[in-house]
Amino acid sequence: MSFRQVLEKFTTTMGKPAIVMEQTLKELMGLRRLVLVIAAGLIPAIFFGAVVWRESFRSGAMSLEMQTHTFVGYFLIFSFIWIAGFYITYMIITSGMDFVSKEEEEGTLLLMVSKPIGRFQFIIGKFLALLITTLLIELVVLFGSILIFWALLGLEPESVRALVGLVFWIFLYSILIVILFDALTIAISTLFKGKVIKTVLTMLLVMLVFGVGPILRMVWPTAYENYHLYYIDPGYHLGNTYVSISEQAISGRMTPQSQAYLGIFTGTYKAGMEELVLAMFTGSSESFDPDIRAMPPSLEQTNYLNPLVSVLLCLVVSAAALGGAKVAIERREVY
Amino acid sequence: MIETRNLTKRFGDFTAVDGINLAVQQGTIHGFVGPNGAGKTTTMKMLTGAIWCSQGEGYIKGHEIGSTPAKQIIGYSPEHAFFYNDMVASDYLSYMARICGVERSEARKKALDLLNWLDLGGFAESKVGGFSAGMKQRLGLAQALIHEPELLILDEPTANMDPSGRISILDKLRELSHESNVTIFLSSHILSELEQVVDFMTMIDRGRIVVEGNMTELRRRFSGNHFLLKTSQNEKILEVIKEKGLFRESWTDTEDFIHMISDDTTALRKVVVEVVVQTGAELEHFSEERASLQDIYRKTMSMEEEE
Repeated sequence: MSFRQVLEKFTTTMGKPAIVMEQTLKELMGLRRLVLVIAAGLIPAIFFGAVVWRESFRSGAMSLEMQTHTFVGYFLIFSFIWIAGFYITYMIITSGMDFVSKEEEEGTLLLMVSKPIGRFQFIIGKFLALLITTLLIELVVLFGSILIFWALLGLEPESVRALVGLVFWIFLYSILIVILFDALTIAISTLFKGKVIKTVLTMLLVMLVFGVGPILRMVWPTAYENYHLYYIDPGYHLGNTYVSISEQAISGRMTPQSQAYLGIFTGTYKAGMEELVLAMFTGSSESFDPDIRAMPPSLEQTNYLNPLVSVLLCLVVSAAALGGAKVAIERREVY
Repeated sequence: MIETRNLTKRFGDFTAVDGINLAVQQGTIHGFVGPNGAGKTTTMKMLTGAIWCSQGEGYIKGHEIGSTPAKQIIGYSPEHAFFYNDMVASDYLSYMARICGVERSEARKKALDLLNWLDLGGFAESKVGGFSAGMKQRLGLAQALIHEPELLILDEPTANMDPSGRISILDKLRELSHESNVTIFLSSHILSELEQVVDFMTMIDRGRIVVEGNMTELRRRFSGNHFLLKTSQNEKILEVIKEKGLFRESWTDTEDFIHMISDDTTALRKVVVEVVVQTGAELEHFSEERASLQDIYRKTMSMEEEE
């Protein structure tokens, strides 16, 4: 069954939102756009493969086991911060921010709201299209990055197999972050008209998700735990989910360096500045020893919350954002 | 088909539509006229569910305005329709058809048929962004018709068209009304053209209905008992009628038509026939001059001004 046939079957089953989804998919999947977006997603892999990690993984520099273990850790961090992090959130924001407001500005929304389709169905169609496009592109970038690392770093097949084994789990985590940002972006697009305010809001959103947690933990470490600030730290919830999901992969055990990075960025591991400096400037995990002020074999997890709670909170926020979008679009007067 | 009760729309302190009660009968072509800013477009947008009424209620064939069942009945073409410029016309119409519940296989066929019917068949695979204003107007009509609606709401459907385009669209509207029993509720500033197609008319000014009714009645009501007569012996006949005191004003125009304004139209008709027979004159023309839509509009608006 071809992709087109699958799409047709889906639209028949799902009804009107699927028709809007199909049309939006066609717009988002234009060849020129796809090439540009995928190329942008692969640039960091080329940079890290050709420049940053080239020396660490040069042929014969480490044992096969060490290479696999270390690179799995690097790849998990690379995917969390870039592919399933800034890259897909940026992609969602740039594609989805104008979904509703652009239709209104260009006058096409007037005809759409006069058609026998619920306004929220229209929004859901757009939401689904963005979800599918982002996930498909992410999958391509994940595999593309592995291929680039393989080619540039000369990784052994076993290491590559370990990376491929991670893709499913990273993708699973990505569904959550895509739902969250997709819903928030659609809500912003529906609630606000001005380009400036939308841009500022989305920038604040990204900063809130990825930036507030590390700053809070750094500036006010005791308060973060004492006042349970992790409840309102989106970065923690995403990290908590990511760690939990990536642990499911056989090859997903992280090196202490990777744990230190995640600890700093998300608060999922007990890591402070000391661990970060060590992670940045020391070599492989095998040489770390706590007695000599080096990295321990594995950092302790903070375990503030059950990962299921984090997943649930992310889904609740997404549902609330979509609910806000529903109220806004249904009350909107279209001229 | 359309029924509104006290339909009102306020924008802050400004009342754009002020409690109008509309009744549009099924299968008719109903004109909706008024000066700029009278509230026509606002009313139409409330009927299609694009904006909400501040007060009152409205129904489309019994379904509340703005509801999905009501929208299923409506085909709406705004005065300035905007489309997805990167789409080709046939794809755009197929998309709109499917949104309205038409099956995928049928949607494309319908799109192509409609484009042909509206003389856009040669542009089916052209991007909408390259269409002229007149072509876009036709495409607007096409998207309104794509799901074979029972009710067409058309805001200035011929505004951007050349004269032949306007005539062709009005012919098609007449065809739709007569052959498919489609109810058409349309606004236009070109009253002479509107007059050719409408059965009923509602005139609004400053958000209120000032005149409404069927065209025959309105023409009669606004005609002012004005008769036209032309015979082979105009002077003699005019003298006899004048003696009977049956008109308050008369004159003869350059084409030898006698114009008479009478207060007793029944008696005048009877006397004219009798006099023509008595004098043995040849009757070339005798009619009651009916008011044009333009006359009705002018008179109504001047009365409104006076008020």
